[in-house]
Amino acid sequence: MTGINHKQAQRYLRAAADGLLRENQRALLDAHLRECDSCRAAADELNALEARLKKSFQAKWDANDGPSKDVMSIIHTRSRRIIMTNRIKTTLKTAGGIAALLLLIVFLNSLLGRFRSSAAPAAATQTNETTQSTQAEGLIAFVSKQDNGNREIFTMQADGSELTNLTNNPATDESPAWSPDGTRIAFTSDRSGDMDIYVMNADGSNLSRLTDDRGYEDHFSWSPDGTKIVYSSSETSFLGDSNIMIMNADGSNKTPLTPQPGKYSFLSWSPDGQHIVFQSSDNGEGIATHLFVANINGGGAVIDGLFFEGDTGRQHQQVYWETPNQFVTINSNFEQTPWGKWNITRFFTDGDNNRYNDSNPILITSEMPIFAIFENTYVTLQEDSLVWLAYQGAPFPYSPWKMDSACKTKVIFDLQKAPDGRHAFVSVNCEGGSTSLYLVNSDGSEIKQLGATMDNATPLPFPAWSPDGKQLLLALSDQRKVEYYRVDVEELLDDPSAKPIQLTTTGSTYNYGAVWQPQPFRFGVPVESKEQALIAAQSGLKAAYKYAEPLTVITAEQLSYGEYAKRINQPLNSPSDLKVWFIVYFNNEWQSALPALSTYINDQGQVVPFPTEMSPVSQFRGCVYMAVNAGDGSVIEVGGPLPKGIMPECDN
Amino acid sequence: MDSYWLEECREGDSLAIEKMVHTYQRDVYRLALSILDNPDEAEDGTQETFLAALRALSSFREDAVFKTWLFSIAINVCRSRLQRRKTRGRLQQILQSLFHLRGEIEHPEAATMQNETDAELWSAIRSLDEKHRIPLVLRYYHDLPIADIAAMLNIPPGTVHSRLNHAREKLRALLKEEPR
Repeated sequence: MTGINHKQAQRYLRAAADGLLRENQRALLDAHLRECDSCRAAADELNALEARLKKSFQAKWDANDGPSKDVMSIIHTRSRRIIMTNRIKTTLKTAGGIAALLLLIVFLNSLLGRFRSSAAPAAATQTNETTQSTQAEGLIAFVSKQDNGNREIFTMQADGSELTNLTNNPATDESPAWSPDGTRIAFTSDRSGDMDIYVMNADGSNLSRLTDDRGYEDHFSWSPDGTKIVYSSSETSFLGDSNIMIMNADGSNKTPLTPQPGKYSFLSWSPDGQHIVFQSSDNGEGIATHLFVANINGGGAVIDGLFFEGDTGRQHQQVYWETPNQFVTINSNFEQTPWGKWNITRFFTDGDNNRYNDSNPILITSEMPIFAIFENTYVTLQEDSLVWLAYQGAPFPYSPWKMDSACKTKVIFDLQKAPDGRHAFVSVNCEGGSTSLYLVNSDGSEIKQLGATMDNATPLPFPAWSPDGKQLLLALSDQRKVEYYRVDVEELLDDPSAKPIQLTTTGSTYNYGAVWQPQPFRFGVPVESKEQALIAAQSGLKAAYKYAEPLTVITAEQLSYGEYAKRINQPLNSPSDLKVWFIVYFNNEWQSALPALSTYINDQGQVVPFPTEMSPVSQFRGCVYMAVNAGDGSVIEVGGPLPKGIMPECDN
Repeated sequence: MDSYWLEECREGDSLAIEKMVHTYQRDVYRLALSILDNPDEAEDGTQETFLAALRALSSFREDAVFKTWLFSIAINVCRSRLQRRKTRGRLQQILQSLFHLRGEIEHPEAATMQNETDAELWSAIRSLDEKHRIPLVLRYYHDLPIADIAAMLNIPPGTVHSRLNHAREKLRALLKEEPR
């Protein structure tokens, strides 16, 4: 008999199922099956299983015809950045691989500070400055409670000098907030009988009352470009029903964003200042929270609509903007479990409203509080340990940080994100005892203690980072009084015996609400000549490369919208306040972020259109170009053909 | 898709990218759906796949068939999503046991379970691990030859075959166990 045995037949059967059977084997199998009942039964069984699998799979998935349209549009917007990144990678490779990359990074590290900050623009060190300085820059405003209980707003230099009482008024003055350009301080005061919003210069001069409505006006926030202020207005009390209002920074054009008073609370401005996010808890029965996104349009505002049909008990705590049109919130619900249920949920500012009611993605649900959110990670608690987890992107091995290893008592900790979004400051206080300070990466790695552990010092909440992220203002209590201390991050990292520097000796029982003066935004540096502009532009070019890397914190979109657009989205009025703007076009990548750059101010002070050859649409496609406004209002094109070797495509 | 298109995609030509997405999005979506078994996740997976593909386009070897290459990316994307799902589930379990919670553990599949006609088969399929389930889906839903599956999963064809055998054997045994 030339045929095959049962075992071989079984093997052939399986091979046949996978299309691996040769012709001659096929014939052998067929012959065997004709003679062998049990093998035929096995073959039938296999065929039936295969048919059943196919049928079930098809029944289940065939109806799905493809992804929704969003997929295409998201790919569309994001693909540009990827292409750009690819180019940069190729460029770096050709430019000498790792050495070039390292050089670039070293070089960029000196530039990083000024792009990183999202809350407050960072201070830039000038390139022509040879002194390398970590000196504190700018003023710090804070509230100090006087012996008689009166609250006044003070400023001091970052070294503690020039302590000045700016308000000097028997009424309560508090909630100081710097205008984004660092020239004015808005605050609330009840000096006129009820709470209103006022604004003054950084030295306390030029006081002006912005609201004179009956009732309480407070909880205000400057728009990122400093032209508007959003605030809460209540006729009854600061806990009563209120409207969310918006006005120009001079107090004109007050417009409600809400149809009638309710339990509204402001949450956040979008980085481009085009939207604000607020929530309501206007259901009388529970606290059913709705999230709103208002579209700030010219002088007025339009409510885009109800974006999130909140369930009872939900509260949004923090907003983190991923792009100008997309944000996530940390929200919690205390009615679902005894300790609350915490979510990270993503929302969008554009598109139609209904979409969000059923499909706003909950990225993370946690049974434990979520304290902070970074670009890809969030911080939560596991027993008495802090853990960092990924809410998007690749998961990474996490190592819980057991903060109380040094404490015998309860641990009280506070976590404050650094302006660069890549670090956080954590204070760990053993209740009633010692306090240790730490700097932690946004993924929980590299937990480094800052200086020595301090005895008898309890940190107060809300430490204030300096705009450049190099220092941090910390209020420490010795149980009798509260004084401000400055944490010099680099120094304390280097010196395990060092301690924060005491800045104030007010003797006050309460100092709070510290805010660091934003530094004038300088993307690039002041220049006086075209030559200088060129040098600056080249450094800016490298910075742009850096920020196109997907691994960095600030993405191209965030950079362009968050930092460029909010500054540039207005005519360039005063040559003196503008130093150098870099406008970098990668494949039209940032084109939409820079609408106002269609005009500039010429030598005669007239607003004129950009030269058409500088239009990003045609000429700049595929290459990097730069336009520099040299501070005198004139526009210098420094892009042109890029230096050879940087981008081979652009070399000829 | 021919190499000319791909070159344009690499160059960042938006029309070419659109064409690429348009050509393959249905297949990729169905692939993601059949691995992840959850429409929302499949959508995200589709998106991720295309973005990852664009990112890696320069590493695409012309001798590889584009669709196979794209599918292998999709499979990797989906696998890492499955991994994430597992990690998340584990964490949730730990937290729940920690606090003796009676919580629901997220079952992404739960929603889709209702409209399944062949419940026994599906429960048997779900009991397969990822290593065996993915080849099964590629073979019987996407109708792919063993060689392609091997290329996508980056394993030898013999391994694909033996995994399929194992999967079929296990399904057979499970289906026999449970009376119909």
